[in-house]
Formats: sequence, C-alpha cells, structure tokens
Amino acid sequence: MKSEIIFEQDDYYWVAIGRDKHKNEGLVDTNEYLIVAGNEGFLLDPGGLEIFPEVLNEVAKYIHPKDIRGLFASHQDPDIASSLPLWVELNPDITVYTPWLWAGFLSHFAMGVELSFVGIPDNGMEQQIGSSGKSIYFVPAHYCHSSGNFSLYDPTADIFFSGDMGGALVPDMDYNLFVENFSSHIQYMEGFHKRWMPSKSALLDWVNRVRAINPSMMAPQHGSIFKGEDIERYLRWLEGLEVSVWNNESEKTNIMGEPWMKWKR
Amino acid sequence: MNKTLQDINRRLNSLNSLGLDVSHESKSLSDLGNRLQVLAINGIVLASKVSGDRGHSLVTLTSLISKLPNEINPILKNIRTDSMDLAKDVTNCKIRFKKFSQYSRAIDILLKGENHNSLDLKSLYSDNFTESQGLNPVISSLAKKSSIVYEIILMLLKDSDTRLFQLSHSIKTLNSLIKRIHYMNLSITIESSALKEEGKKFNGLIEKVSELMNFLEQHAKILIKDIESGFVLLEKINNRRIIV
Ligand SMILES: [Fe+2]
Ligand SMILES: [Fe+2]
Repeated sequence: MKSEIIFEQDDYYWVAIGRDKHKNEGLVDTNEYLIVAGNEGFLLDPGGLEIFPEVLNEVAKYIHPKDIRGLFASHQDPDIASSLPLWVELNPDITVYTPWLWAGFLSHFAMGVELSFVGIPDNGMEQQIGSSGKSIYFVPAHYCHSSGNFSLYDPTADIFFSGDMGGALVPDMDYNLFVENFSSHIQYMEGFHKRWMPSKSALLDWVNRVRAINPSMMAPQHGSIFKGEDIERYLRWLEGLEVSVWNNESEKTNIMGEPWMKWKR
Repeated sequence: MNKTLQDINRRLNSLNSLGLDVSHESKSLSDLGNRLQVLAINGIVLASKVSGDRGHSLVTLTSLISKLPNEINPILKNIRTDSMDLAKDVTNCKIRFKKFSQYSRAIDILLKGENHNSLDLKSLYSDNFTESQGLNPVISSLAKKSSIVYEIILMLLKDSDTRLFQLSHSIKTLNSLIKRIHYMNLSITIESSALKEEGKKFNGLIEKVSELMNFLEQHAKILIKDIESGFVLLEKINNRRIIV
C-alpha cells in the first residue's frame, strides 16, 4: 500500500492512501484519505476490515492513531466502513461521523466493539477537526450512489472528497494517482458510474453542488484524483451519462428464457 | 496470518462445525420422547385388557414407561439448548478471532516497517522516541488489544468448556434412562411371553420401543464422540501460545 501527501500548507496536510499491491485479489481497491491539522487527524472512509493493518501502517507514518479525532464514513458500504470497530477499539476517543440514515446499520459491523455515531443530518453540516480551528463540510450526495451519502469539502485545502463519485476501477496498482489523460481515464469510470449510480436527477443536483463549491481538487474513494480542469470535464461527462442501467435486453424480448423463470419451464 | 493463528483458526472452525453437528443431531431426537409416550399409552390400553396378576404388572410396566418421556424431554431440550449455545459461542469467538488476527497482522506489518524509511526496527524499541514520534506506542497499544482479544477468546472457550461438560452430563443421564427403558421393555417381554395368544399383541410394542431406544443410543454415542473431540480441540487451543 502506498501513501502520498497531496496537499501541504504549514502543519496542515492531506494524505492519500491506496493502491495496495499485496491485498487479496478479490478486494476492490480503495483510497483512504487522512487530513492532518497540527497534531490532530481526521480519517475519511477508512476502508474495509481486510485492509485495516495496511491502512493503519500508512496512517502511523504521519500521525499517532491516538491523535485521530474524527472518522468519516460517507455511506454504509463494507469497502468504506467495515474496519470501523478496529479503529474505534484502538482509539475509543474517535468520533465517527456518518449519514444519520446508516448509523443503526453500521452497528452491524461492530464485532463486539461499542460503536456510537454522530449522524449527519440530510442537509449536511460543518465540523471542526479536533481543536485545530479548521472546519470541514459534509456535502449532501444522497443517491450518489447510496440513499444516505455525503461528500466532504475542505476549504483550507480546497479539496473535495467525492466518495464513490468519480470512482474508477483502475487496471493495475501502478496506475497514476492523479488523472493524467481524462479521455483515456473514462473507460475505467464508465461501467462503475452506469451501474452503481441509481439516479440521474440526484447526480445532476450533486453536480450543481460541486460547481457551487468549485474546488481545485476532487478526490474519489476509488481510482484517481482530479485536478483543475479535469473536474469540470468530469462533471460535463457525468451530465451526459445515462446511469442506473444494466443489460436487460434479453428480459424484454424473451422473459421465459430468463434464469429466474426456469421454475416455470 | 502466522502459523499459530492459522492453527487456532482451523481448530475454531472445527469446533464451530462440531457445535452445529451436535445441534443438528439433537434436533433429530426432539420428538422422540413423544413417540415413546404414544407407544407406552397404547401399551397401557393393551395391558388393561389382560386379566389377573400378569395384566396388573403389565399395566404397571407400561405406565412406568409412559411416565419416562417426562424425564427424557427436558434432557433432550437441554442437549439442544446447550449445543446451540455452543455453536453460538464459537461463532462469536470466530468474530473476535478475526479482529484479533487483524491486529496481530497490523503489528507484523508495523514491526517490519518496510515503508518507514526514517525508522529502523531497533529505534522502535529505543526510549529516545517520544510518544508522538515513535511507532512504539502504536505497537504496544495494538499488542495490548491483541492480548485482550486473546483473553476474550479464552473466556469464550471456557464457556464452551462448561457447555461441553453440561452436554456430556445430559447424555450420561440420557444413557441411564435408556438403560431403564430397555430393562422395562425386557420385563414386558418376559411377562407377555408367559401369556399365550394375548401376549403376542405386545410384540409390536416391544419391538418399536426397542427400535426407538436403539436409535437414541446410537445418537447418544455420536454425541459423546463429538463432545470428546470438542474437549480435545479446546485443550489444543488453550495450549497454544500466541507470540506477537
Ligand atoms: Fe459505495
Ligand atoms: Fe466504494
């Protein structure tokens, strides 16, 4: 697993963690992000249970785990939140922020650890990182893809954490951390967005929010980070994309040929 | 996962499937007491038609058998509850074990420190590092978590040990009940064989009761074998030392 500082200003910085070469083949690759403000940390989408040791190892390069103040789970997926109990057990002072919608569901990951959550209200909220005086903002991203979902904006670094939005399933673990050629990057995002994103109207609402923020960097939970003009390129590509589709042609033409109708044959 | 952990994991898996096996086994016995009672009540009806002393003792024997399901049913129920609890305990233990092994793997990776250019292994143990600089506190805190989790495993295993003891006790009681029923069945055989045509009516009852008891005996043997291997597994898990 690699980690890289993607923004740094005095004692405030962002670390991108990911591209785990040694992970189990069946695991989808994820990016985790660590915000460090002075000697306090905030971890974004800490990842799955399986990769906890590797993520912890990267985090420990920058900050002591006991100095992590907050943990953000953008939605309920296992690739995002199944490591939660291990972080919380290691440092019970961590506050976990997650959409209010999912708090009771995430508790199913508890593994015997007592988990408590700050449920982020639907319209989002401001949150300070520890006692640093720096604020981050939870930005609604409902139905992008999860029905209770938040992106996160950090005005200090001008970075927008987009969660699964902008996600790409990249071909190998040496693939570039930043998008270098947008048009050739599309092939790794297209399938992901078409299938995982359930609502075009929610997606267009989210595009408006990102445009209103106009960040200089957009960091997704899978794939590569967008900078500068590539963000607008991505938003425009998204506006023209047909989402929530799966190849169900056969169903329309011959319903009896479907595997789920086999009982009737 | 290192070899010791793999070994423990393997044994936990065996213990888990063992709990499920016992629970499954005991499920197949659940209506046995009721079946025996129906047989015995039919026997009472038959015996009441036999006149004289013989008829009297046959009524006594069959009604004794008819009362035994009241003793058998709670034992079977206990076996079922204990075995289900055992399977549940071990499943819980498996979940905690997973957590433990992830902590243990984290310690391995941190100690290797392959990516920690500025820190070599020796320096991890030196006192020159302050809390926030060195990885030492991370590792010791993880090690502490690991040992706590390991203690939880041992605690759960102790529970499993108790359950296995309870199970073996239940089965011993069950076995002595089976013996008593076999004995009464034998007495009915003797009493009824002294009768002529009338006595033949009892053959079906005798055969069915002995069939039921053989079935129960067979399953009790399987359960005892399972429980013994459960004890062996617990012993092996308890004897492993975890070095982190
Ligand atoms: Fe997701
Ligand atoms: Fe994801």
